[in-house]
Amino acid sequence: MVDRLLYNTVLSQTFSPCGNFLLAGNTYGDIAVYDLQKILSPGEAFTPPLRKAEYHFTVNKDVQICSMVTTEKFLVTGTVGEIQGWDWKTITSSKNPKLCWSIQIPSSKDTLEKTDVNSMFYHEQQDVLYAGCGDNKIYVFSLDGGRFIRKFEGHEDYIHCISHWGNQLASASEDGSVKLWDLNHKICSHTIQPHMNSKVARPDYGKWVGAVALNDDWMLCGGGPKLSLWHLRSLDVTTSFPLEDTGVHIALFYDDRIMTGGSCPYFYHLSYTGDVLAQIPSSSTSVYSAVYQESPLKVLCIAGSSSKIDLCTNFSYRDQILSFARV
Amino acid sequence: MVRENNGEKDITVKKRRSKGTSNSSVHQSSGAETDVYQAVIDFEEGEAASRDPDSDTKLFCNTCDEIRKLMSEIAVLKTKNTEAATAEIAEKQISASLLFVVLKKLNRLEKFRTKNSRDVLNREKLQVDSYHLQLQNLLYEILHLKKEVTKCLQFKSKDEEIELVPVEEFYENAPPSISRENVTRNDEHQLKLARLEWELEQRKDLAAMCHRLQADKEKVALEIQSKRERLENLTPQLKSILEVTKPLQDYLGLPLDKIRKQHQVAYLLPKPLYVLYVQVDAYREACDRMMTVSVSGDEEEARLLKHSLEETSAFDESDSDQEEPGESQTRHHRKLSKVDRLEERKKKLLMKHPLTVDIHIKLQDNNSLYLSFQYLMHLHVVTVNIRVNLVQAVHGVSAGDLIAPHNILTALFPQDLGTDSPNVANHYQLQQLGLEPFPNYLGELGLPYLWAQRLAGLDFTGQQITDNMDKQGLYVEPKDVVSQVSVERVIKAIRQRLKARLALCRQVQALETGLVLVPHALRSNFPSKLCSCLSAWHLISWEEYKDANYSQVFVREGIVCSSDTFYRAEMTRGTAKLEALIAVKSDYPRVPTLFSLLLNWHGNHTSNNNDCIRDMEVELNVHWRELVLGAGWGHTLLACQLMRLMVCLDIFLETSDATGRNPQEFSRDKIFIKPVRGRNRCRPYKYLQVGGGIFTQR
Repeated sequence: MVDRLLYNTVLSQTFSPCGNFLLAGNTYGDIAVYDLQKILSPGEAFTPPLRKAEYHFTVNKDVQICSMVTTEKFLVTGTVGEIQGWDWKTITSSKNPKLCWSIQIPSSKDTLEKTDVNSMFYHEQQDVLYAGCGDNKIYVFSLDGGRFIRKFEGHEDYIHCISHWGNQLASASEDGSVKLWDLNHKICSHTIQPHMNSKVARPDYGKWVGAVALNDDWMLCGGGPKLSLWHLRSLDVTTSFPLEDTGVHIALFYDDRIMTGGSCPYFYHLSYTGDVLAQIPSSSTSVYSAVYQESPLKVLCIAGSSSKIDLCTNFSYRDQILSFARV
Repeated sequence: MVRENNGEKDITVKKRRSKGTSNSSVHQSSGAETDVYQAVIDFEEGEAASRDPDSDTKLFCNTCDEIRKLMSEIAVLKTKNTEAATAEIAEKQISASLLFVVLKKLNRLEKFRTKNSRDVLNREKLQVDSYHLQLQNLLYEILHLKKEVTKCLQFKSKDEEIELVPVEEFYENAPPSISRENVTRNDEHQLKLARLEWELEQRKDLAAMCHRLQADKEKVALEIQSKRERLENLTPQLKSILEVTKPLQDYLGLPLDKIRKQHQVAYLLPKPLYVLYVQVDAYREACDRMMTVSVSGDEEEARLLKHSLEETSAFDESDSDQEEPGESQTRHHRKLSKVDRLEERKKKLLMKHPLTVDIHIKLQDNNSLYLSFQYLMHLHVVTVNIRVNLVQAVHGVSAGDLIAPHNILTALFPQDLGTDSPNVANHYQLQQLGLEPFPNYLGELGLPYLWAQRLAGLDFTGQQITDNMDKQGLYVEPKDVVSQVSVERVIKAIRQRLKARLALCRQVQALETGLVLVPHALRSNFPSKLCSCLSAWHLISWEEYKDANYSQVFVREGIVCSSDTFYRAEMTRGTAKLEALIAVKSDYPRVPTLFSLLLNWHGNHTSNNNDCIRDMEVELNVHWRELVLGAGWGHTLLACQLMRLMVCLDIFLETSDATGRNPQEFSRDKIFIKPVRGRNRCRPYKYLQVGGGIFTQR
């Protein structure tokens, strides 16, 4: 009998507010909690090759955990048709997490399926949660009471990823477009279609855009088309990165470099000009989640379609491998 | 001068004697004269005794001096030669002659005296001699007495050899009449006597008891003898009764005789096989009428063997030193050539018992399995030979392999591959003789499955080291308990395995011809129309499986092993070709079949580089249970999985085109809501029986 953890897929990860715990959620609805202090403490004489999780808890059995974000008080999990809030204290101090609240995603009556919450972003100042969902819309909820505030409509297929910077929100969708939303005026300011650009299009892998990231001047996106860096003001491709992937799922800005991963055996650090700065071998067939923090522990965690999670303490080398399995 | 004188005197004495004799002869004629002579002698003797010898000696010396003076005066006178002188000479001559008479008298006295003293001396001598003799006699007597004394001292009494009870015990047990404590306490000798008496008393008692017991014993022996005789007389009677009942048995159709005969033969079985026979037969009697148990083989040889074994074991007991017979044997062997010797030893070590226990297990559909258990006497393991008897022969290369005798019961229980001996000692036994390891003899010896050992009551896992260890290798005593707990489990497992394998065989047989047959009842789990088809089906080896890079996960995790059966299936639709490596575990369907996939369509896709293929494997390897229903689900699992794979392939190809792959090759044939969903863009592999059947993501 094959252990189904052999076919484990981690879609999302997050750190606890204190930075001492890493949480990873898989498609079977389980969340594994790792104690980073324990795992990364150097003094230990014997370190097993595969560190296992402190404990697991199940959100909804066999309902995949698509996304997770951390707020000051809550762990917010986005599953299918639902967003839940869990009290951090109960996660970090006891092994018995307590569900505090949940928000149902409003669903239109004609669809059979519930909506995936594929990507979330928490706006700290406004205490609102943006959720890019499987019904092509971006919902905004107030976490003060779980009130639905508004939604952004315009995509023709489900949303893979959302990214926020200043007054702008970017969303990447299966329909092949990246939309930039003006949060002040609540309208879609621009629509970019990377698959229409011959420099980045890859018809073999489809037109979908799996990842997007924003900063002051730049937008990074990739998916079926190659990973590409766009200049925000001119909305033109500055760099297209010739990587050996078959789909991009992760694109992040970090300092003055770019981190990216997807359906390829490596996780890359790139410069804006397209040079490969680091190439980290990945345990996963496809990388679906990469999270990092600087303090209290500097660590980059890369997870995906594998029962293993790669840990990099200096971001450029794989330092340890965690197993999703229980202790 | 004196001598001269003596000589002269002697002559004169002689003259005188002759004169005397002449005189005596004259006087002999008258008796009176003789008396005188005697009287003279007596007188003379008396004179001699009375006179003092010393004064006689003085007188003799004086006389001699006077004679000498006279002689010298004569000599002087002669020289004068005168007349006066001559007269004087004559005078002088007369006085000298008178002196001579004195001398003669003196001489005579001396003679008497000498004679007297001589007589006295002789008499004294005799006296001394007699005293000496007396002394000698006395000394001898003393010696003899001394000897007698030592003899007496050395005498040993018989009572010293008798072991006596200690004194305290004696006083405790002996009656006062014997012990007489007031006397014996102080007198050692009396004590000894009393103890001896007591000893005698006791011995007499014991001897009497011994006699009595011996008599009893003889009586009992006699009784035994008589009873035995009676029993012996009973046998022919019983036999004749049996003979008589035979026609009745035949008439009533009772196989009593046959059973009895089987049981008799069973006694000749070696112990492990006997345990196996008894337990399995009992199980058959109680629970399972669809099987038969029998003993077959050369009875006569078995009887001889048993006999000789008993003899040797008796010999071993009497002679604890087992080295010697072994040594003499090897000395004997040395005469043979090396090759022959090895061959002989090998034969001896690998010797099977001539009898086998045959179990025939029959299924409802008349397919059956023959198990023939045999016992390797020196390796001390039980091996099985298997034969499958099918109503309908199985065609096809890969299908036939599944029910091949060497394969069908592999891993009946986890890890029980039957490829090496469960008796660890065998390795060293074989090594010692320079033989190849056990697995090389599987062909001739049969398969030493662990469950076979357990049926025979041999439990090598909880090995108890017995005394026989150095002699027989690791000898494990067969135990009924071990057999009892496993008989039912094993027989049931064998039945299940046989059923499962036959079903698997039928599936594989169909698959080899390209047909994927799913029972009607399960057909609703699949869409009605399939566009992919099974284009090839091959049996492959473990090496081929192991070397394929897309099956590495299972090999690395140890989920598959060399004892499993492996196939390669190929499915095609248009330009797409899907290769599936299929690992059928030995205990299929308890452990389901495992699939590893390789899609060749616009490049090679496997679960290592494409999550959609990985999801396809998940459908087959993890969610297989959704495909089958009911009790006999295992019998159709493989076909269902293959059909599922074909569906998945269709879905994958159709959704790939639907998400914008150019150029489009496959028309959308299945109904699905979203071709991809979620950040991992998973495909709608899950089938829902809604309406005409739709596909969704899991």
